[in-house]
Amino acid sequence: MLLNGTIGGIISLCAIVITFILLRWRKKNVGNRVAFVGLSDSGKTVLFHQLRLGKPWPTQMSMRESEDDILVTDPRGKPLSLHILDMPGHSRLFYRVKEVLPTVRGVLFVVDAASFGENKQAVAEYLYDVLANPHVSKNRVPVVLVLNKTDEVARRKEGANENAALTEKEGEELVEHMSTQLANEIDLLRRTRAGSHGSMSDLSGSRAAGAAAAASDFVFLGDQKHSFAFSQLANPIRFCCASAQRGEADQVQKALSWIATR
Amino acid sequence: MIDHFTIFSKAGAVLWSFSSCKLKGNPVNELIKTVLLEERSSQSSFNYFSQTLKWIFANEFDLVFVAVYQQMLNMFYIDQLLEEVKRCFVEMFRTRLLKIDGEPYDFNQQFFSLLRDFEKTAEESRIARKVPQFTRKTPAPKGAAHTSSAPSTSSEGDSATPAAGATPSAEPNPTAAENSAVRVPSPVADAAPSPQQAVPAPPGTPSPSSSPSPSPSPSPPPSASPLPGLGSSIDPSDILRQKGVRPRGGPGRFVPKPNSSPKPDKKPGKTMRRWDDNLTPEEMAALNRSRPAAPQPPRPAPPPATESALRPPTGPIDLDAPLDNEEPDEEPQSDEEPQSGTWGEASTEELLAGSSARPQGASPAGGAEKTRVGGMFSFFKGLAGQRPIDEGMLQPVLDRFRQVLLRKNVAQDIADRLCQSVAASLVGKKVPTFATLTNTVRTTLEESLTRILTPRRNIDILREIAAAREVHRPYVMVFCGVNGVGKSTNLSKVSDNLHPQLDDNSNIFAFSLPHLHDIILSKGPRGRRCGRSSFHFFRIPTPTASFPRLPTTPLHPPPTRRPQIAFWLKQNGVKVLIAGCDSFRSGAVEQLRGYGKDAASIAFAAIEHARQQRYDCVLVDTAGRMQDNEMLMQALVKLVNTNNPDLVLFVGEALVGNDAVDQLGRFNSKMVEGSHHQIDGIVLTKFDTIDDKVGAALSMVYTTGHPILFVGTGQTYTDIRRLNVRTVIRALLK
Repeated sequence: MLLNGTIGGIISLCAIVITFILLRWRKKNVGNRVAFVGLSDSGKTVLFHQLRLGKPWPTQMSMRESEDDILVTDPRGKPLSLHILDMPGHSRLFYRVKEVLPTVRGVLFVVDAASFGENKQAVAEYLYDVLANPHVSKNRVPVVLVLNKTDEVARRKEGANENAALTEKEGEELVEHMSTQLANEIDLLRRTRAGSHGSMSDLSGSRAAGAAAAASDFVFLGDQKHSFAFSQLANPIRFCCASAQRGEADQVQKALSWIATR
Repeated sequence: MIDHFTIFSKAGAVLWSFSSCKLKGNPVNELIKTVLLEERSSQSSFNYFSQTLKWIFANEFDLVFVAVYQQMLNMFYIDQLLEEVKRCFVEMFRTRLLKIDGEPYDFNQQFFSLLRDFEKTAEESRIARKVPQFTRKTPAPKGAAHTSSAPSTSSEGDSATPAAGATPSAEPNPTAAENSAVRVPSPVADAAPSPQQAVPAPPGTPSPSSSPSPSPSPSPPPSASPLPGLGSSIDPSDILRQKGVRPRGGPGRFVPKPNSSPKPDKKPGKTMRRWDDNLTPEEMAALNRSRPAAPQPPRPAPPPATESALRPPTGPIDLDAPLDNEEPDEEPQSDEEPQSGTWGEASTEELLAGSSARPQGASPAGGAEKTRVGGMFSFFKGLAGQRPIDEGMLQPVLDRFRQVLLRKNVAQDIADRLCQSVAASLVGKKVPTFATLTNTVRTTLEESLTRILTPRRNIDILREIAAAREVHRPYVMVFCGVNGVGKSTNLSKVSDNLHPQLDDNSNIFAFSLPHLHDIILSKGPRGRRCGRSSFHFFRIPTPTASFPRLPTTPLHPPPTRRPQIAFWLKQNGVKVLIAGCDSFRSGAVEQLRGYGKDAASIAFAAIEHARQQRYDCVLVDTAGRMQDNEMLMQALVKLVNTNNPDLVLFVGEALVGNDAVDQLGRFNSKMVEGSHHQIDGIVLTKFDTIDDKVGAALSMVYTTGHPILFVGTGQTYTDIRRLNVRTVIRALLK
C-alpha cells in the first residue's frame, strides 16, 4: 500500500512538472508564431518550404497546417527565431485559421498576384475575415501582404521571356495596383457585411439573441466616413513581392524580421 | 499503365511522385477538394474525367498515397500496389516522414520494381484467363497490417493458432499430390535457402504475444507476399491442373507448408503458362519438371483458418489462392520455423531477382533485435496510451457516436459514411498521451463536422447583387423545394423591401392567392405571421381585360411592418422583384390565365421586366413539388435552364430525417443532368421547431456539399439567420 502511494505520488509529481514545462514551452512558442494564410493555390506551402529549406519543394493542396521554426536576421544582423505556421487555404478549413489567429504575433497573407483579377473578390473576403478577427484588430497584429507568383505576372508582359522578372519599379506598381483594388473591394464588403444576418447563437432563435450575435460577429474595418484605405487600420500593414517557386523570397524574409522586431 | 502516382503529406508537401503522361486537369487536387475534405473517404475510388483515382492513408504519418489511372483499364492490382508502396515507403523513410528535411525521397527504384512485378503478374493472370482478382486482395492488406499496426497481429495470431493446430492432420491425397506436383520445381530450387530460413523464423515466433515485434519480423515476408500471392493466383499450371482435380485437390493442398514452400514455384509456373496454351514441346518439358517433384509433398488437411473457411469454392483457382494468401499471415506468428523460413527465403530471393534493392530483404537478424527492444518498451508505450488505433477498438466507440447522430435526426446513410470516414482517418494513429479513445474520436468527428458545415464557397448575396448591379442586370434567385416547407414564407423574408419600389412601377401587378388576404389583413405590426403567405408579383406583358387587376394597396404595409429574405434585402437597399411562378397550384390557374402555365416563361418575363426597370434582384418563387414527380421536376429544370439564375436555393425543413437526403439529392441530380446548374445553397426552415434535433442540417449539407445560407427560425419577417456551425455541432454531439 505504502509503496503504491509513493509511486502514485511520484507519478503525479512528474505529471505536474511535465505539464509545467510543456506550458512554458508552449507559451514561448506562441510569442513568435507567424501564420501563413491566404486562398488555396496562392503559394503558401511553397513559400513555407522555401523559407525553411532554402529551396523549392513540390506541393499539393494542404489539408492541415504544418509548422516549423526558422531563423531570420533582424536589421542589425542578430538572428531571431520565428515559428511559422502554414495554414491550409481551402475555405472548408477556415475554421482552423480562426483557431490559430488568436495566438499569432504576425500574419503573412499570401496572394496569388497572377490570378488576382479573377479572384479579387474572394481574396478580399478572406482578407477581411483575417483583418476583422478580434485578436488581429484589437492587438494590432502586423499583417504582411505577400504578392506571390510575380514571375508569372512578369511573363505575361509583352515580349517577356521565360525568365522574366519584375523590376523594382514594376513591383511597386503592382503593389500600388493591388492595394487599391483590395481597398475598393473591402470598402464594398464592409457595407454588404454590415447588412448580413446575425447568426443564430442558440437553437431557440429568439430575435434578441440574433441581434446580439449580429452585433458581436461583425467588425467594421477602417473609418466609417471615408472610403476604405489600408492606412486607416490600426494594424501595421506591409506589402511585399515574392516568387516562391523561383526562390525569390528576400522581401518576405525582410518582412518576417520586421514582424519579429515589432 | 499507371498515369500518376503520388505520395504527399496532408500538410501539402509532395514527398514523391511519378507521372507517365500528362494528366487531364489536376485530379489529385480535385480528389482532395471533393473527397478528402468532404469526409467522403469512405468511398473507395474517385473518377475525374476519364481517370480513376484510388488512395490510401498512412495516418500515423499523415501521408496519402494516390494512384491515378485510366478508367477504361480495370486495374485490379491497384489496391495491393498502394498497400505495398505504402508499406515499402514507410519502412524506407520511417524516420524522415514527419518532417521534410529537404532531402529528396528516392523511391523510384523500389516503386518501379513493385510496379513491374504487379504488372507482370497482372499480365500473366490475364493470360491465365481471368483469374478472379479478389483472391489476391487478401494478401496485400495483411502484409501491410503486419508492418503498421501491432493490434492486427493479435487477430492474426488467433487465426494462426488454429491453423497450426490443424497442420498435423495431414492427409495425403492423391489429387493433392497432383496439385503439389505442379509446385514442386520451386521447392527444389528453394531447398538450398532453407537453412537460412531459420534466421527469420525466430523473430516470427515471439511475435504473436508482443505487439511491437511484428513490425520487424513481418518485413521480409510482406515484401514477398504480393509476389507469391499474385503468383499463386496466376500460376498457370496449377490452374489447369486443378480444373481437372479440383474438388479434392483444393482442400488437400492447404497445409503442406513445412516441407514445401508453394509460392516460389509459381514463378516458373507462370512463364510456362503461356506456352501451355500453345501446347508446345516446351510446355511438355515444363510439365515434366513438375512431375518429379510430385511425390514429395503429400498435402495435409487444410488448416481451419478463418479466411479459407469463409471463402466460397468459386473456382479451382480460388481454392488455390486462399491457401497462398494465408501463408503470409501465418508466417509471422506460427511457430513452425520451416514454413515461415521458406517464406522469408523465397521472398528475399525473389525480390533480389526481380528488384535488386529492396530494403526489407536485407537483414532478418536485425529485425529480430529490433523486436526485442520493442517488446521492452511496449509496456511503457501501453502506459502512455501510445497504442496505434485499429478498427477493432474503434468500432464500439464509433457505434456509440453513430447512435448519437441518428438520435439527432441525421440520415442513417450519412451517419454511416461519416463514421467510416472518421475511422479511415484514425486507423493507425496513436491516441494522444492524456486522451481517451472516445475523446480522440469525438475531436476528429467534431473536426469533420465543422469542415462539412463550413461553406466551401462564401456566398455573400449582397456582394453579388452589388456586382450584378454594376453590369446592369438583375440578380436572380430561384427558390425550390417540396410542398409546405415554407418557400414563400422565407422568400418574403428575403425580399420584404420590395414594397416601396412597387409604387413607382405601375406595370407591376400584384395577385394574391385566395389566402393572401387574411395574411395581409390579419397581421399586427411587427411579429405578424407571414406563414404560408404567397405574394405574387409579376409583370403582365400585355394586360388583358379579362385579367383581374387587383388593387395594390393591401400589399403596401406601412414601413414598420416589414414582411422575412425579401425583408432583409430591402433593408439593405436592394430593389427586389418577386416572380410567383407556382403556376400550377390550386387557385393559381385562373389568375394566371393570361400567361399560361409555363413557369419558365413567367420567370423569363419577370426577369426581362426587372432588367428594364433596373431592379437589383429577382426572387423566383416556384410551386412545391415532390422529388419523384418527374413532370414537375422537368418543369423546374426548364425554368432553371431558360433563365440561368445566379443562385438556386433549395428550401428544406429541419424536421425531416432520412427524407432530406432523398429530396435534396433528387432535386440536385435532376438539376445537374438537365441544366448543368446545381443547387447552390440551402434554406433550412422551421428550425425553431426541432429543439436539438438538428440532423437535417448535416444531412442536407453533406448530400450536396453546398452551404446552408439561411435558417428560418420563426414566422415573423425578421426570423431569418445565418447558420452557426458551432451551435449545430454542439447540439449534434450533445
